[in-house]
Amino acid sequence: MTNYNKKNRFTAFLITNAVPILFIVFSALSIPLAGLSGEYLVQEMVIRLARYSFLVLSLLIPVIAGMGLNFGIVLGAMAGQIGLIFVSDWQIVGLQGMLLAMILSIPLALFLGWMAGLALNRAKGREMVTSYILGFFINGVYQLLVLYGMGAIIPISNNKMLLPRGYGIRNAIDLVNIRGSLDNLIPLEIFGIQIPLATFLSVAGLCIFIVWFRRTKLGQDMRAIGQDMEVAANAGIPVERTRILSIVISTLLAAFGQIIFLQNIGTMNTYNSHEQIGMFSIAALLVGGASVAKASLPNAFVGIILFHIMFVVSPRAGKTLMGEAQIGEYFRVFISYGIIAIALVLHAWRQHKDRERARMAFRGDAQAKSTGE
Amino acid sequence: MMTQSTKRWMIRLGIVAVFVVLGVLFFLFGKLHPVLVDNKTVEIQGQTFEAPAVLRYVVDGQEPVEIQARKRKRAELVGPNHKIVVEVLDENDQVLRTVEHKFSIGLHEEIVVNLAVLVGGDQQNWIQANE
Repeated sequence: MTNYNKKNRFTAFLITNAVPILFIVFSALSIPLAGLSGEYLVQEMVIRLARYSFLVLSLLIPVIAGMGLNFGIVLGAMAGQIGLIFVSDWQIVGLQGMLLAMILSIPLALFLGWMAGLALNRAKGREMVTSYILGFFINGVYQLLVLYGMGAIIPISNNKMLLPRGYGIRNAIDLVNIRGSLDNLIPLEIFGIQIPLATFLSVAGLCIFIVWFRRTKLGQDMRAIGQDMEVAANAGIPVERTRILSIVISTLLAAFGQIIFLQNIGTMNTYNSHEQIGMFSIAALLVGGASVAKASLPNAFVGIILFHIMFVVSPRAGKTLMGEAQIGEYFRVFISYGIIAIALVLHAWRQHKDRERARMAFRGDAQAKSTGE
Repeated sequence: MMTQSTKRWMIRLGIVAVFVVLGVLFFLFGKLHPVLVDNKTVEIQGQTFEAPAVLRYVVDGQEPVEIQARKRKRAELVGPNHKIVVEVLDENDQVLRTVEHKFSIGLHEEIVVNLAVLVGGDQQNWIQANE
Protein backbone atom coordinates (compact mmCIF):
# COMPACT_ATOMS: atom_id res chain seq x y z
CA MET A 1 0.00 0.00 0.00
CA THR A 2 2.82 2.38 0.98
CA ASN A 3 4.72 1.47 -2.19
CA TYR A 4 1.57 2.10 -4.19
CA ASN A 5 1.20 5.58 -2.59
CA LYS A 6 4.86 6.38 -3.22
CA LYS A 7 4.54 5.34 -6.84
CA ASN A 8 1.41 7.45 -7.20
CA ARG A 9 3.10 10.46 -5.66
CA PHE A 10 6.11 10.01 -7.93
CA THR A 11 3.86 9.78 -11.01
CA ALA A 12 1.98 12.89 -9.89
CA PHE A 13 5.29 14.73 -9.44
CA LEU A 14 6.43 13.68 -12.91
CA ILE A 15 3.15 14.80 -14.47
CA THR A 16 3.14 18.14 -12.63
CA ASN A 17 6.75 18.90 -13.53
CA ALA A 18 6.91 17.19 -16.91
CA VAL A 19 7.80 20.33 -18.84
CA PRO A 20 10.66 21.62 -16.64
CA ILE A 21 12.08 18.09 -16.34
CA LEU A 22 12.01 17.75 -20.12
CA PHE A 23 13.83 21.05 -20.47
CA ILE A 24 16.44 20.23 -17.83
CA VAL A 25 17.19 16.95 -19.62
CA PHE A 26 17.31 18.73 -22.97
CA SER A 27 19.62 21.44 -21.63
CA ALA A 28 21.90 18.89 -19.95
CA LEU A 29 22.28 17.12 -23.29
CA SER A 30 22.64 20.25 -25.43
CA ILE A 31 25.12 22.29 -23.37
CA PRO A 32 28.10 19.95 -23.94
CA LEU A 33 27.16 19.63 -27.62
CA ALA A 34 27.04 23.41 -28.07
CA GLY A 35 30.56 23.78 -26.65
CA LEU A 36 29.89 27.26 -25.24
CA SER A 37 31.97 28.46 -22.29
CA GLY A 38 30.36 28.60 -18.86
CA GLU A 39 31.12 32.31 -18.56
CA TYR A 40 29.38 33.04 -21.85
CA LEU A 41 26.31 31.02 -20.85
CA VAL A 42 26.05 32.69 -17.44
CA GLN A 43 26.42 36.16 -19.01
CA GLU A 44 23.70 35.36 -21.56
CA MET A 45 21.36 34.09 -18.86
CA VAL A 46 21.92 37.19 -16.72
CA ILE A 47 21.17 39.46 -19.69
CA ARG A 48 18.10 37.49 -20.68
CA LEU A 49 16.79 37.33 -17.11
CA ALA A 50 17.03 41.13 -16.94
CA ARG A 51 15.45 41.50 -20.37
CA TYR A 52 12.42 39.21 -19.97
CA SER A 53 11.61 39.04 -16.25
CA PHE A 54 9.29 42.05 -16.15
CA LEU A 55 7.29 40.76 -19.13
CA VAL A 56 6.96 37.24 -17.77
CA LEU A 57 6.00 38.50 -14.29
CA SER A 58 3.24 40.60 -15.86
CA LEU A 59 1.45 37.31 -16.63
CA LEU A 60 1.06 36.26 -13.00
CA ILE A 61 -1.84 38.44 -11.84
CA PRO A 62 -4.44 37.22 -14.41
CA VAL A 63 -3.51 33.63 -13.46
CA ILE A 64 -4.40 34.44 -9.82
CA ALA A 65 -7.77 35.73 -11.03
CA GLY A 66 -8.39 32.49 -12.92
CA MET A 67 -8.14 34.12 -16.33
CA GLY A 68 -5.36 31.85 -17.54
CA LEU A 69 -2.33 33.03 -19.46
CA ASN A 70 -2.88 36.54 -20.75
CA PHE A 71 -1.91 36.46 -24.44
CA GLY A 72 -3.16 40.05 -24.41
CA ILE A 73 0.14 41.31 -22.97
CA VAL A 74 0.95 42.25 -26.57
CA LEU A 75 -1.57 45.09 -26.08
CA GLY A 76 0.61 46.46 -23.32
CA ALA A 77 3.69 45.90 -25.44
CA MET A 78 2.15 48.04 -28.21
CA ALA A 79 1.36 50.79 -25.68
CA GLY A 80 4.99 50.72 -24.55
CA GLN A 81 6.22 50.94 -28.12
CA ILE A 82 4.04 53.96 -28.87
CA GLY A 83 5.61 55.66 -25.83
CA LEU A 84 9.04 54.82 -27.21
CA ILE A 85 8.18 56.21 -30.67
CA PHE A 86 7.27 59.59 -29.14
CA VAL A 87 10.33 59.66 -26.91
CA SER A 88 12.57 58.89 -29.90
CA ASP A 89 10.89 61.62 -31.93
CA TRP A 90 11.26 64.22 -29.18
CA GLN A 91 14.85 63.10 -28.55
CA ILE A 92 14.51 62.51 -24.83
CA VAL A 93 17.57 60.58 -23.78
CA GLY A 94 18.75 58.30 -20.99
CA LEU A 95 16.72 57.20 -18.03
CA GLN A 96 14.48 60.26 -18.37
CA GLY A 97 13.54 59.07 -21.87
CA MET A 98 12.76 55.58 -20.65
CA LEU A 99 10.66 56.85 -17.75
CA LEU A 100 8.83 59.33 -19.99
CA ALA A 101 8.02 56.48 -22.41
CA MET A 102 6.57 54.57 -19.44
CA ILE A 103 4.45 57.56 -18.40
CA LEU A 104 3.21 58.03 -21.98
CA SER A 105 2.29 54.36 -22.22
CA ILE A 106 0.22 54.41 -19.01
CA PRO A 107 -3.06 55.89 -20.37
CA LEU A 108 -2.89 53.75 -23.47
CA ALA A 109 -2.15 50.57 -21.54
CA LEU A 110 -4.94 51.32 -19.05
CA PHE A 111 -7.41 51.89 -21.89
CA LEU A 112 -6.37 48.77 -23.81
CA GLY A 113 -6.38 46.70 -20.61
CA TRP A 114 -9.83 47.94 -19.69
CA MET A 115 -11.12 47.15 -23.18
CA ALA A 116 -9.55 43.69 -23.10
CA GLY A 117 -11.05 43.10 -19.64
CA LEU A 118 -14.51 43.99 -20.91
CA ALA A 119 -14.12 41.62 -23.85
CA LEU A 120 -12.81 38.80 -21.65
CA ASN A 121 -15.74 39.19 -19.27
CA ARG A 122 -17.98 38.36 -22.20
CA ALA A 123 -15.91 35.30 -23.01
CA LYS A 124 -15.65 33.64 -19.60
CA GLY A 125 -13.96 30.27 -19.78
CA ARG A 126 -12.34 31.13 -23.10
CA GLU A 127 -10.11 33.96 -21.94
CA MET A 128 -6.88 32.69 -23.47
CA VAL A 129 -8.05 32.27 -27.02
CA THR A 130 -10.02 35.54 -26.79
CA SER A 131 -6.98 37.48 -25.55
CA TYR A 132 -4.88 35.86 -28.28
CA ILE A 133 -7.28 37.03 -30.99
CA LEU A 134 -7.62 40.45 -29.31
CA GLY A 135 -3.87 40.79 -29.74
CA PHE A 136 -4.27 40.34 -33.51
CA PHE A 137 -7.13 42.84 -33.62
CA ILE A 138 -5.27 45.56 -31.70
CA ASN A 139 -2.17 44.82 -33.78
CA GLY A 140 -4.22 45.88 -36.81
CA VAL A 141 -5.25 49.11 -35.09
CA TYR A 142 -1.63 49.72 -34.03
CA GLN A 143 -0.36 49.20 -37.57
CA LEU A 144 -3.00 51.56 -38.93
CA LEU A 145 -1.99 54.20 -36.38
CA VAL A 146 1.76 53.83 -36.84
CA LEU A 147 1.81 53.19 -40.57
CA TYR A 148 -0.75 55.81 -41.65
CA GLY A 149 -1.54 58.05 -38.67
CA MET A 150 1.96 59.01 -37.55
CA GLY A 151 3.38 61.81 -39.64
CA ALA A 152 -0.02 62.45 -41.25
CA ILE A 153 -2.38 63.08 -38.31
CA ILE A 154 -0.03 62.70 -35.35
CA PRO A 155 2.93 65.08 -35.84
CA ILE A 156 6.37 63.48 -36.03
CA SER A 157 9.13 66.06 -36.29
CA ASN A 158 12.09 63.73 -36.82
CA ASN A 159 12.11 62.98 -40.55
CA LYS A 160 14.65 60.19 -40.06
CA MET A 161 11.94 58.16 -38.34
CA LEU A 162 9.42 58.59 -41.17
CA LEU A 163 9.11 56.54 -44.32
CA PRO A 164 10.31 58.29 -47.51
CA ARG A 165 6.68 59.06 -48.49
CA GLY A 166 6.46 61.47 -45.51
CA TYR A 167 4.17 59.57 -43.16
CA GLY A 168 4.31 56.25 -41.34
CA ILE A 169 7.14 55.10 -39.09
CA ARG A 170 10.10 53.19 -40.54
CA ASN A 171 10.47 49.44 -39.91
CA ALA A 172 13.26 49.86 -37.39
CA ILE A 173 13.89 52.61 -34.84
CA ASP A 174 17.34 52.97 -33.37
CA LEU A 175 16.87 53.43 -29.63
CA VAL A 176 20.44 54.66 -29.25
CA ASN A 177 19.30 57.48 -26.95
CA ILE A 178 17.90 55.14 -24.32
CA ARG A 179 19.90 51.97 -25.01
CA GLY A 180 21.02 50.44 -21.73
CA SER A 181 19.77 53.43 -19.75
CA LEU A 182 18.43 51.20 -16.99
CA ASP A 183 20.86 48.30 -17.44
CA ASN A 184 23.91 50.54 -17.13
CA LEU A 185 22.52 52.81 -14.42
CA ILE A 186 24.38 50.94 -11.64
CA PRO A 187 27.30 49.16 -13.27
CA LEU A 188 28.37 45.97 -11.52
CA GLU A 189 30.78 43.25 -12.56
CA ILE A 190 31.24 40.00 -10.66
CA PHE A 191 33.86 37.50 -11.90
CA GLY A 192 33.79 39.11 -15.33
CA ILE A 193 29.98 38.87 -15.57
CA GLN A 194 28.20 42.18 -16.19
CA ILE A 195 25.15 42.48 -13.92
CA PRO A 196 22.44 45.03 -14.85
CA LEU A 197 21.77 45.77 -11.19
CA ALA A 198 19.20 48.56 -11.66
CA THR A 199 17.08 46.30 -13.91
CA PHE A 200 17.23 43.51 -11.34
CA LEU A 201 16.26 45.97 -8.62
CA SER A 202 13.18 47.00 -10.59
CA VAL A 203 12.34 43.31 -11.14
CA ALA A 204 12.77 42.76 -7.40
CA GLY A 205 10.42 45.69 -6.81
CA LEU A 206 7.83 44.04 -9.03
CA CYS A 207 8.23 40.73 -7.17
CA ILE A 208 7.65 42.52 -3.86
CA PHE A 209 4.61 44.23 -5.39
CA ILE A 210 3.17 40.88 -6.52
CA VAL A 211 3.74 39.26 -3.12
CA TRP A 212 2.17 42.28 -1.38
CA PHE A 213 -0.67 42.44 -3.90
CA ARG A 214 -1.67 38.82 -3.27
CA ARG A 215 -2.23 39.69 0.38
CA THR A 216 -4.36 42.75 -0.24
CA LYS A 217 -8.15 42.67 -0.29
CA LEU A 218 -8.09 42.92 -4.09
CA GLY A 219 -5.54 40.11 -4.35
CA GLN A 220 -7.62 37.87 -2.08
CA ASP A 221 -10.72 38.70 -4.14
CA MET A 222 -8.85 37.69 -7.28
CA ARG A 223 -7.81 34.41 -5.71
CA ALA A 224 -11.40 33.72 -4.65
CA ILE A 225 -12.61 34.47 -8.19
CA GLY A 226 -9.88 32.21 -9.57
CA GLN A 227 -11.11 29.35 -7.40
CA ASP A 228 -14.83 29.72 -8.06
CA MET A 229 -16.46 32.66 -9.75
CA GLU A 230 -19.99 31.86 -8.56
CA VAL A 231 -19.01 31.42 -4.92
CA ALA A 232 -17.03 34.68 -5.10
CA ALA A 233 -20.01 36.52 -6.58
CA ASN A 234 -22.30 35.10 -3.86
CA ALA A 235 -19.79 36.34 -1.27
CA GLY A 236 -20.28 39.87 -2.61
CA ILE A 237 -17.05 40.20 -4.61
CA PRO A 238 -17.53 42.33 -7.74
CA VAL A 239 -16.34 39.57 -10.09
CA GLU A 240 -16.40 41.43 -13.41
CA ARG A 241 -14.71 44.57 -12.06
CA THR A 242 -12.00 42.52 -10.34
CA ARG A 243 -11.33 40.53 -13.50
CA ILE A 244 -11.02 43.75 -15.51
CA LEU A 245 -8.58 45.12 -12.92
CA SER A 246 -6.38 42.02 -13.18
CA ILE A 247 -6.12 42.46 -16.95
CA VAL A 248 -5.51 46.21 -16.63
CA ILE A 249 -2.63 45.62 -14.17
CA SER A 250 -1.17 42.91 -16.40
CA THR A 251 -1.37 45.12 -19.51
CA LEU A 252 0.25 48.05 -17.71
CA LEU A 253 3.09 45.88 -16.40
CA ALA A 254 3.55 44.46 -19.90
CA ALA A 255 3.91 48.01 -21.30
CA PHE A 256 6.68 48.72 -18.77
CA GLY A 257 8.17 45.29 -19.46
CA GLN A 258 8.32 45.95 -23.19
CA ILE A 259 10.11 49.27 -22.61
CA ILE A 260 12.66 47.56 -20.34
CA PHE A 261 13.03 44.80 -22.95
CA LEU A 262 13.63 47.27 -25.78
CA GLN A 263 16.06 49.48 -23.84
CA ASN A 264 18.11 46.32 -23.39
CA ILE A 265 17.90 45.34 -27.08
CA GLY A 266 18.55 48.90 -28.32
CA THR A 267 16.53 48.65 -31.53
CA MET A 268 12.80 48.61 -31.99
CA ASN A 269 11.29 46.64 -34.80
CA THR A 270 8.22 48.88 -35.15
CA TYR A 271 5.88 46.31 -36.65
CA ASN A 272 7.20 43.06 -35.13
CA SER A 273 8.83 43.64 -31.74
CA HIS A 274 5.56 43.13 -29.86
CA GLU A 275 4.22 40.20 -31.86
CA GLN A 276 6.27 37.35 -30.37
CA ILE A 277 6.34 38.75 -26.85
CA GLY A 278 3.13 37.08 -25.67
CA MET A 279 4.09 33.71 -27.06
CA PHE A 280 7.67 33.70 -25.76
CA SER A 281 6.76 35.03 -22.30
CA ILE A 282 4.00 32.45 -21.89
CA ALA A 283 6.25 29.67 -23.15
CA ALA A 284 8.94 30.71 -20.65
CA LEU A 285 6.44 30.71 -17.77
CA LEU A 286 5.13 27.28 -18.74
CA VAL A 287 8.64 25.88 -19.08
CA GLY A 288 9.19 26.99 -15.48
CA GLY A 289 6.45 24.60 -14.34
CA ALA A 290 3.51 26.98 -14.29
CA SER A 291 0.13 25.91 -15.53
CA VAL A 292 -2.91 27.76 -16.83
CA ALA A 293 -4.32 27.79 -13.30
CA LYS A 294 -1.20 28.20 -11.16
CA ALA A 295 1.90 30.32 -11.62
CA SER A 296 4.42 31.63 -9.12
CA LEU A 297 7.51 33.83 -9.03
CA PRO A 298 9.96 30.85 -9.08
CA ASN A 299 8.10 29.47 -12.14
CA ALA A 300 8.85 32.73 -13.95
CA PHE A 301 12.58 32.81 -13.18
CA VAL A 302 13.23 29.08 -13.64
CA GLY A 303 11.26 29.25 -16.90
CA ILE A 304 13.23 32.18 -18.30
CA ILE A 305 16.54 30.46 -17.53
CA LEU A 306 15.54 27.07 -18.96
CA PHE A 307 13.79 28.50 -22.01
CA HIS A 308 16.67 30.79 -22.86
CA ILE A 309 19.34 28.18 -22.26
CA MET A 310 17.60 26.33 -25.07
CA PHE A 311 17.54 29.54 -27.13
CA VAL A 312 21.26 30.03 -26.74
CA VAL A 313 22.50 26.46 -27.06
CA SER A 314 20.15 24.91 -29.60
CA PRO A 315 21.55 26.62 -32.76
CA ARG A 316 25.09 25.56 -31.78
CA ALA A 317 23.95 22.08 -30.76
CA GLY A 318 22.06 21.81 -34.06
CA LYS A 319 25.21 22.79 -35.93
CA THR A 320 27.29 20.18 -34.09
CA LEU A 321 24.72 17.43 -34.60
CA MET A 322 23.45 18.17 -38.11
CA GLY A 323 26.10 20.54 -39.45
CA GLU A 324 23.54 23.34 -39.75
CA ALA A 325 22.57 26.03 -37.24
CA GLN A 326 19.19 26.45 -38.95
CA ILE A 327 18.09 23.06 -37.56
CA GLY A 328 18.63 24.31 -34.02
CA GLU A 329 16.90 27.59 -34.87
CA TYR A 330 13.92 25.67 -36.23
CA PHE A 331 13.98 23.40 -33.20
CA ARG A 332 13.70 26.24 -30.69
CA VAL A 333 10.71 27.83 -32.43
CA PHE A 334 9.08 24.42 -32.75
CA ILE A 335 9.72 23.74 -29.05
CA SER A 336 8.27 27.06 -27.85
CA TYR A 337 4.97 26.47 -29.65
CA GLY A 338 5.03 22.79 -28.72
CA ILE A 339 5.47 23.60 -25.03
CA ILE A 340 2.40 25.81 -25.04
CA ALA A 341 0.40 23.05 -26.73
CA ILE A 342 1.63 20.44 -24.22
CA ALA A 343 0.80 22.73 -21.28
CA LEU A 344 -2.70 23.39 -22.57
CA VAL A 345 -3.35 19.69 -23.22
CA LEU A 346 -1.99 18.77 -19.77
CA HIS A 347 -4.26 21.40 -18.22
CA ALA A 348 -7.34 20.07 -20.03
CA TRP A 349 -6.37 16.49 -19.11
CA ARG A 350 -5.86 17.43 -15.44
CA GLN A 351 -9.22 19.21 -15.36
CA HIS A 352 -10.88 16.14 -16.87
CA LYS A 353 -9.18 13.88 -14.30
CA ASP A 354 -10.21 16.19 -11.41
CA ARG A 355 -13.82 16.16 -12.59
CA GLU A 356 -13.72 12.38 -12.91
CA ARG A 357 -12.26 12.05 -9.40
CA ALA A 358 -14.92 14.38 -7.99
CA ARG A 359 -17.64 12.35 -9.72
CA MET A 360 -16.22 9.10 -8.34
CA ALA A 361 -16.05 10.58 -4.84
CA PHE A 362 -19.65 11.77 -5.14
CA ARG A 363 -20.78 8.32 -6.29
CA GLY A 364 -18.89 6.74 -3.42
CA ASP A 365 -20.64 9.01 -0.94
CA ALA A 366 -24.04 8.36 -2.50
CA GLN A 367 -23.51 4.58 -2.42
CA ALA A 368 -22.41 4.74 1.19
CA LYS A 369 -25.55 6.69 2.11
CA SER A 370 -27.86 4.34 0.22
CA THR A 371 -26.39 1.30 2.00
CA GLY A 372 -26.85 3.11 5.32
CA GLU A 373 -23.17 3.10 6.26
CA MET B 1 -18.10 67.26 4.12
CA MET B 2 -16.25 65.33 1.40
CA THR B 3 -17.98 62.13 0.29
CA GLN B 4 -16.09 58.89 -0.27
CA SER B 5 -16.56 59.19 -4.02
CA THR B 6 -15.25 62.78 -4.14
CA LYS B 7 -12.27 61.75 -2.05
CA ARG B 8 -11.53 58.88 -4.44
CA TRP B 9 -11.70 61.19 -7.45
CA MET B 10 -9.43 63.71 -5.74
CA ILE B 11 -6.84 60.98 -5.14
CA ARG B 12 -7.10 59.87 -8.76
CA LEU B 13 -6.68 63.42 -10.03
CA GLY B 14 -3.73 63.86 -7.67
CA ILE B 15 -2.04 60.75 -9.10
CA VAL B 16 -2.65 61.96 -12.67
CA ALA B 17 -1.21 65.39 -11.74
CA VAL B 18 1.91 63.76 -10.26
CA PHE B 19 2.46 61.78 -13.47
CA VAL B 20 1.93 64.89 -15.63
CA VAL B 21 4.46 66.85 -13.54
CA LEU B 22 6.93 63.94 -13.70
CA GLY B 23 6.42 63.71 -17.46
CA VAL B 24 7.15 67.42 -17.90
CA LEU B 25 10.28 67.15 -15.73
CA PHE B 26 11.56 64.12 -17.65
CA PHE B 27 10.90 65.98 -20.90
CA LEU B 28 12.79 69.09 -19.77
CA PHE B 29 15.73 67.31 -18.16
CA GLY B 30 16.05 64.53 -20.73
CA LYS B 31 15.73 66.60 -23.91
CA LEU B 32 18.71 66.39 -26.24
CA HIS B 33 19.66 69.75 -27.75
CA PRO B 34 22.00 69.96 -30.74
CA VAL B 35 24.37 72.89 -30.21
CA LEU B 36 26.38 74.49 -33.01
CA VAL B 37 29.59 75.93 -31.59
CA ASP B 38 31.16 78.73 -33.68
CA ASN B 39 34.45 80.54 -33.45
CA LYS B 40 33.77 83.26 -36.02
CA THR B 41 34.35 86.99 -36.24
CA VAL B 42 31.05 88.83 -35.99
CA GLU B 43 29.79 92.37 -35.57
CA ILE B 44 27.01 92.91 -33.05
CA GLN B 45 25.50 96.37 -32.49
CA GLY B 46 28.54 98.08 -34.02
CA GLN B 47 31.05 96.11 -31.97
CA THR B 48 33.36 93.64 -33.70
CA PHE B 49 34.28 90.41 -31.94
CA GLU B 50 37.45 88.95 -33.46
CA ALA B 51 37.71 85.16 -33.50
CA PRO B 52 40.80 83.98 -31.56
CA ALA B 53 43.16 81.66 -33.54
CA VAL B 54 42.46 78.66 -31.27
CA LEU B 55 40.00 78.05 -28.46
CA ARG B 56 39.52 75.05 -26.24
CA TYR B 57 36.15 74.50 -24.63
CA VAL B 58 34.67 72.05 -22.16
CA VAL B 59 30.92 71.72 -21.72
CA ASP B 60 29.58 70.11 -18.52
CA GLY B 61 32.92 68.45 -17.81
CA GLN B 62 32.93 66.48 -21.08
CA GLU B 63 36.02 65.91 -23.26
CA PRO B 64 37.81 69.18 -24.15
CA VAL B 65 37.42 70.26 -27.79
CA GLU B 66 39.71 72.61 -29.73
CA ILE B 67 38.25 74.91 -32.35
CA GLN B 68 40.15 77.05 -34.87
CA ALA B 69 39.07 80.50 -36.06
CA ARG B 70 36.26 80.52 -38.69
CA LYS B 71 35.25 76.94 -37.79
CA ARG B 72 32.05 75.37 -36.51
CA LYS B 73 31.69 72.27 -34.30
CA ARG B 74 28.61 70.36 -33.21
CA ALA B 75 27.80 69.24 -29.71
CA GLU B 76 24.83 67.58 -28.08
CA LEU B 77 23.64 68.65 -24.66
CA VAL B 78 21.00 67.07 -22.45
CA GLY B 79 18.70 69.18 -20.29
CA PRO B 80 18.26 72.93 -19.92
CA ASN B 81 21.17 74.12 -17.73
CA HIS B 82 24.84 73.88 -18.64
CA LYS B 83 28.29 75.22 -17.88
CA ILE B 84 30.95 76.04 -20.45
CA VAL B 85 34.63 76.71 -19.82
CA VAL B 86 36.45 78.35 -22.73
CA GLU B 87 40.23 78.73 -22.85
CA VAL B 88 41.95 81.09 -25.28
CA LEU B 89 45.18 79.41 -26.46
CA ASP B 90 48.36 80.84 -27.99
CA GLU B 91 50.48 79.20 -30.73
CA ASN B 92 52.15 76.92 -28.15
CA ASP B 93 48.83 75.73 -26.74
CA GLN B 94 49.39 77.76 -23.59
CA VAL B 95 46.26 79.10 -21.93
CA LEU B 96 46.11 82.90 -22.21
CA ARG B 97 42.72 83.42 -20.66
CA THR B 98 39.84 81.33 -19.27
CA VAL B 99 36.16 82.26 -19.42
CA GLU B 100 33.60 80.27 -17.47
CA HIS B 101 29.90 80.76 -18.03
CA LYS B 102 26.62 79.11 -17.04
CA PHE B 103 23.83 79.15 -19.59
CA SER B 104 20.34 77.84 -20.14
CA ILE B 105 18.95 76.40 -23.37
CA GLY B 106 15.36 76.44 -22.17
CA LEU B 107 12.90 74.86 -24.58
CA HIS B 108 14.77 75.78 -27.77
CA GLU B 109 15.21 72.87 -30.15
CA GLU B 110 18.67 73.85 -31.42
CA ILE B 111 21.01 76.67 -30.48
CA VAL B 112 24.10 78.37 -31.92
CA VAL B 113 26.82 79.69 -29.65
CA ASN B 114 29.67 81.92 -30.77
CA LEU B 115 32.65 81.53 -28.48
CA ALA B 116 34.37 84.59 -30.02
CA VAL B 117 31.54 86.71 -28.66
CA LEU B 118 31.68 85.02 -25.24
CA VAL B 119 35.44 85.50 -24.80
CA GLY B 120 34.98 89.03 -26.20
CA GLY B 121 32.92 89.82 -23.10
CA ASP B 122 29.35 89.87 -24.44
CA GLN B 123 27.41 87.47 -22.28
CA GLN B 124 24.05 88.39 -23.81
CA ASN B 125 24.46 87.83 -27.54
CA TRP B 126 26.85 84.86 -27.66
CA ILE B 127 23.95 82.37 -27.60
CA GLN B 128 21.13 82.37 -30.16
CA ALA B 129 18.26 79.99 -30.85
CA ASN B 130 18.50 78.34 -34.28
CA GLU B 131 14.77 77.96 -35.09
